[in-house]
Amino acid sequence: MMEAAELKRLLEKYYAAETTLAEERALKQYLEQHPAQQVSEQPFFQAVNEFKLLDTPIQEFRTSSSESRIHRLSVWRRTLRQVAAVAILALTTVAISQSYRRYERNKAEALLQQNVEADLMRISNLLNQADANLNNAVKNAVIPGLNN
Amino acid sequence: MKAQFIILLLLSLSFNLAFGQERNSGKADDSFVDAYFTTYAKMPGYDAQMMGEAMVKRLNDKEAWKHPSIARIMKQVKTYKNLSMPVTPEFTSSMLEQLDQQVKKDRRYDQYYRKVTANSTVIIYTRGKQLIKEIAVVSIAWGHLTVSSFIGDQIDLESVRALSENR
Repeated sequence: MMEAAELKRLLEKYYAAETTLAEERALKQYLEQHPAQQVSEQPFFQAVNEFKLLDTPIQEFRTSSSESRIHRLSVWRRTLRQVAAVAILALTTVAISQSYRRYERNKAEALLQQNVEADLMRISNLLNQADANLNNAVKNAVIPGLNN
Repeated sequence: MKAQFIILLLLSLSFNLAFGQERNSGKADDSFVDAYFTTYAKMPGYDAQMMGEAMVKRLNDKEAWKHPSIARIMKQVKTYKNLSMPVTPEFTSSMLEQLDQQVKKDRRYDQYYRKVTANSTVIIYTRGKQLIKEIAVVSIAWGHLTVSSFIGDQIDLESVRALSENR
């Protein structure tokens, strides 16, 4: 005769999908023999009733080969997921670093372009100043001489 | 045989005396910045930048220049170099003295224009006699030195001068 505590433990294990086949068989057997109304833990046995109504035969779905296949598949899936995550991370890093490099290059290029334009304008102004100074010097030197 | 050897030796010595100095004074493709300012590279605040041929070409192809006259000049330019660094008045006077001596000794560059005021000094140098291959401008004002150099095969000084008029 299964005790209430044991029954409770088994049911909890069952709902957590942790029961062994033997435990499930024992549980089913017990519940077939004891209708829910006779048991003091009423809330549990409402669920138990549903369990009984389902009346699904306990079947062993897992064989050792299928289990190892499932295990292999899950390992593969996990590995693939990890590889995909690493690839996505690497691609994102590369994309971000490339766009940052492009931004820095454009910034440097724009700055240099500004320098070039400013320098050309400065040289142009200086050359004009040089011409103007030369003209003034010639004018000052030659015109008084002509007047004399 | 001995006499021939002595003549050859004398010829080689005179050749070295005549042209040796110029050949040792830097590569022909060097810019003004490379020729006279690399010795200051370890000074604090030294900042040199270069716009290479590919970048100049790319900007020319993109028609990125602000003014058509600048675009026309930049088609004659292959490389642009720029240097800037903070300088003290003491350093400035010794540096200018040294620069004058080196340029005179080197004979590759001609001083085209020099303007000295109480607070600033600006000197324009050119390289090349018939065809101007480089224009460099050294400017020292308010404790800051900037040197810019435009290198090309044939830079038209007149179009550079006219730039500020055509603006």
